[in-house]
Amino acid sequence: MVIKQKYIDKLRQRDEDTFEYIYDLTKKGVYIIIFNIVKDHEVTRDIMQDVYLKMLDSIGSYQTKTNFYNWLLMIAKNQAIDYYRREKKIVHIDETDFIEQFSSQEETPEEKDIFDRLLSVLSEDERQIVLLKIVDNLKHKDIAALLNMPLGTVLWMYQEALKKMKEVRE
Amino acid sequence: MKDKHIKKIIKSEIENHIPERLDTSGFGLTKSVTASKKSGLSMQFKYGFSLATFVIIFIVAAMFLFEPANDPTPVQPYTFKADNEVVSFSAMSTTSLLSYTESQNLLTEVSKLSMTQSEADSVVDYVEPYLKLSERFLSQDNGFLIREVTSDLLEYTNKTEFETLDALGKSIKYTMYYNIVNQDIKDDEETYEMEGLLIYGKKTYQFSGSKEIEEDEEVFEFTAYIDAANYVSSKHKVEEEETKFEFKTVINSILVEESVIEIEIEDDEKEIVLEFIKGNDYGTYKFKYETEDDITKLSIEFDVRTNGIEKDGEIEVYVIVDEVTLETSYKLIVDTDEDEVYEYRRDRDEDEDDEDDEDDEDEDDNDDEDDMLSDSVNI
Repeated sequence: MVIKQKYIDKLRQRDEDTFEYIYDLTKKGVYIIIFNIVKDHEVTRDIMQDVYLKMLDSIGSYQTKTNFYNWLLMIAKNQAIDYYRREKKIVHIDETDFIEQFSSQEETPEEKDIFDRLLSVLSEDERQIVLLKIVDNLKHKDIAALLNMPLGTVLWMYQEALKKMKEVRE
Repeated sequence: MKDKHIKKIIKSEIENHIPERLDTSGFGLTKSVTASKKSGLSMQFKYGFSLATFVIIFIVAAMFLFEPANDPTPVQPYTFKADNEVVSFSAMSTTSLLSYTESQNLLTEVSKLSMTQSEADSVVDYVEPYLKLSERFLSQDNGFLIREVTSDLLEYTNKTEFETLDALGKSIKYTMYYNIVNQDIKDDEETYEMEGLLIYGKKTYQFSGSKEIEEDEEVFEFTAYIDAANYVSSKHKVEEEETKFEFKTVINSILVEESVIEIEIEDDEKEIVLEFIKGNDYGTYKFKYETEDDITKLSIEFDVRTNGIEKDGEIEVYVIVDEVTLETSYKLIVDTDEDEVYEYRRDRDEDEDDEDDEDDEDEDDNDDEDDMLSDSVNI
């Protein structure tokens, strides 16, 4: 995703409409990056608040000609990791914990159950690729750039992830 | 579990939790410039506008206020309005790729060996088969002009003509003669198979096509043949989130290339994103039409890995017309992110309108200095 320089310039001035525009464009990716680390919707929403404030506060250090979206997602990733460090939780958890932590009161039990089981068969990288591709609709090449992986690896992992999820029974 | 179902569940489960808006009260945001029109309005009101005038101005101001300040237009999938548009696109694209494959097989070994090799060669080679397809699809804002007409061939009961433009504004007409076989309608869902001929210019290809329902999804398949061992097929699943076509090119019964084309709309303009895998090479190309100083060009962003080397950059593609012979060619300017610039020429004309196309195979030595087929010039 490429965000035009004129929007970034307006963001530096903390223009409200531009902020809303940037938020609408980027919120899915930011949510996914945080959620994939903290695995809790409530915490993810709290961290999102911090991420966007941090974005505004540190936009002076953003270097023009680099990818703004990747820069923002890096902030999201760092904020999520910081949260874990503060809370002294471990990032890697086993599948059972994973399924429990994905729970949410807002989902129907059936959908939540399928959602949990679908994601639980994926590795951390596969999960991130699947979420960025399906929810944020990013191109494989953008995901590759974002995750610093070869494009072929991303293409392959995505296909493998789909195969694994297809085997999950409803 | 089905692809569509998996994607739907994942998408909705995540999206349901993403906050629509953040609490920005502590963010120190300032009202946008457009919002300052408010004060101007109240001043005008002071000067005695009637209530009716105020209402009109209020509506206009509201339009300004609620209009996104930066006219954001996120990327959206391109939507085909009807089945015959999908079939027409499938027919145009498969025959375009097949025609290219056919022309490549006519290249003599000598001409292949005479190609100047450079790092950018493969970048151009992979994109070349898709130039005509992109040119003919992106040139039309409103899709193809499609007409169902009465068949004038006894063997076929249906005839469809569709028309598009190339980059020079020239009309390209395709005619499909076909029979519908195995038609079925269940629960308002129509499925069918079709067989026939597709004609454009002097070229005629056999084709077969189908519309089926697979796991609740509408699936269109289309294959254009030279013969049973040489063909290009396409597959298109109807999905809300994306509009894409999967292509397979088979030569001498061997699958030589697979690619996926995704069609989307960005800033109200159509663009094509191509992802291909061929052996160990893979990559993406993003095609868009651009007009600068009344000159239309095809602008392509690429990000590929070929021969173990990753390359990215941009290609500008121009159609060049020889004023004397009226032959056309593509001029491709490849600008890599390593600041290397290469210029290439590639053939563009097809047999369709050439009177002397039979002579093409021994043409290489006859060409004048303008004909730089397969030569690259580092500028």
